[in-house]
Amino acid sequence: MIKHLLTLIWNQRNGNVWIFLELLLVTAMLWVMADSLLVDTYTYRQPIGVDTQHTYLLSFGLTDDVTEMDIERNNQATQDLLQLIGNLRQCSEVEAVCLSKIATPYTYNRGWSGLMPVEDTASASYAYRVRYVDLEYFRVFKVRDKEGRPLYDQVLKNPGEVVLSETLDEIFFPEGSGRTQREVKWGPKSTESMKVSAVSAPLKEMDFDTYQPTYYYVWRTEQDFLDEVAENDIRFYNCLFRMKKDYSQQEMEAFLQQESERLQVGNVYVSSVKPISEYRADMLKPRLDNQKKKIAMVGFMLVNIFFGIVGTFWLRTQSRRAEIGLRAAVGASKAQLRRELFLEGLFLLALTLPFLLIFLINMLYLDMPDTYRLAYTWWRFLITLSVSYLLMGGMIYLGIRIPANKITRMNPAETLHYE
Amino acid sequence: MITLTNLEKVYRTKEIETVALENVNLTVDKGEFLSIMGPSGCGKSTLLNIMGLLDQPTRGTVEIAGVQTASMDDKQLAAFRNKTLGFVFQSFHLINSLNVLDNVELPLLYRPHVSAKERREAAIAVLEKVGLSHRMRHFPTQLSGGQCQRVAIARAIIGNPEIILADEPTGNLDSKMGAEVMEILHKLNQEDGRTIVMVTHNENQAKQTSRIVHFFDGRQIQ
Repeated sequence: MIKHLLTLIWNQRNGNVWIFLELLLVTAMLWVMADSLLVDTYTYRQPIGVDTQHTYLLSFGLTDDVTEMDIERNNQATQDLLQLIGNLRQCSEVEAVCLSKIATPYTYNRGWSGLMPVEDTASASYAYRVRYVDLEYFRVFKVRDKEGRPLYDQVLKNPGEVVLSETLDEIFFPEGSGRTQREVKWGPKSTESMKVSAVSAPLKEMDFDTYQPTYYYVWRTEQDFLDEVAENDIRFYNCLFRMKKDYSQQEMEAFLQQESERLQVGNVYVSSVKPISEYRADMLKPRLDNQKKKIAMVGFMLVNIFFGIVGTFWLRTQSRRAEIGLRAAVGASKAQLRRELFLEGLFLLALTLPFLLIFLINMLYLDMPDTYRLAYTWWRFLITLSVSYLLMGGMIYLGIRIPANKITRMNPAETLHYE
Repeated sequence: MITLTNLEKVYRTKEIETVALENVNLTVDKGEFLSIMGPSGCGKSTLLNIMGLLDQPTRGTVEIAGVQTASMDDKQLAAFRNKTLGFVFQSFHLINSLNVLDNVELPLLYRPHVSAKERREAAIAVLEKVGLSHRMRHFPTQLSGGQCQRVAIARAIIGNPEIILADEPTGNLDSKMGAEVMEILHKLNQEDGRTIVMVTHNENQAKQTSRIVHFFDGRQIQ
């Protein structure tokens, strides 16, 4: 039967070549769409490495704010801020409070700085994403290691100023690198070395991004923070905190009102509190809008493809009513006829596979698929290819099954009249 | 061989009801060459389709080779048609995208446990029998009408059926080609002992057969 169907396809090649080209083109389009959506979905579902649930960014102001901060004013404001944070920690509704710089998730407040392993003999260091944080940061954002254990305890226990993300750790200390000391330095000429205290789960800036090599520079003590801030403007630093439960805007306002006395120390006062979830929503909105447009476009294409493919096979099946009648007359059962027609459609589809593979290889050669966010692996290839062919198979099935059902429900004598 | 009892066929639409066959009782003996004659629309082809299990009667029974066909399901009907019946149609009903050999092989494709080699050998043998072994690789569009009908006859007999049902087999052919086709049918009847039921308008051809049955307005008149 297989040979018979292939003979039939070959002998009808003048007509089938157009159907074949349509199937090839449409399957390639489906593959491109499936691959793009897979990359988006996969990266979106990967955790960003910090838990932002119930977390808030506290913006503070100075009652006598000035453009240029002198040292004395800066020191005073720092002390006041530390006192305010201490007061905040005492509130029973608050779980943890931290100080950080360029480390607030879902904001464009980012920084990069050079770093390299001590044992590296390279002449230059690469700049990696850096987040300056105090120890409490790991509690506020429930940062975990790659096995899912809380990182706070590990950083507390192990000495060292630096916490690497897993991605950066793999770059600095890949398995088999032979590097024995987990120590890093700022650059090749740097004499100061820093111990790696722990390795966190991979980190990324937002849901649709890929993991970036990142490190935390940790202020282990209050003095470390004071040393840091002595050379910088206190207003560049962020206070972040985690509440024990999620607070609505009204509840948060009520909380701030209730704690207003504690939350104003000297010149420093709380100007606003915004949940990180809002920053996330703001940051994701343009991407989600684009994603919606993309999905709508894919949906529109799918509908077109659906009607195109179903229509093609529908008409092809209907135009063969007399042949179906004849086959029934010479001894084919209804089930056999339906199976034959579907198999013939599937063979036509299967013939596109080698050509589609050539197309895919060329696409990969030209680096067209997004391999930055997701490496091109066998499972990615198999999933997208399976989805494309299953969708095509489903459409071909419908395009054949419905008219074939109608035709085979008729008596063979009736279908023979359609010649 | 074939027994039709109280056969009735009525075509119903929302508006009208057309009686195609009315109270037909007919027996065709084994080895008989029966002609069915009558004006257009008298129900000849309908009768032949019912005999060939390509259509179902509204009332009455069809018994073929001692088997009552009414209770057969689709699969049984298909297998029965494949094994017992061969069809020759006025318009040949060849598949244009298959060559002569593949067209002739078709019935054996639906017969279980027949290998590709056996199919091919059987097709070549029947094509030799109808004098078309030199046209095996040709397509139906490359053949004359008479040759097409001979291919159709080869297809009808490849499965070695006991009964051949021919619906105006010479209707689309000129007299010379028609005579050739009739000669083959007679050979199949006389030499192979196949039972043949033929619908025809041609009185001369009908006279050459062992019995003629006349139909008028769905009724058997003699």
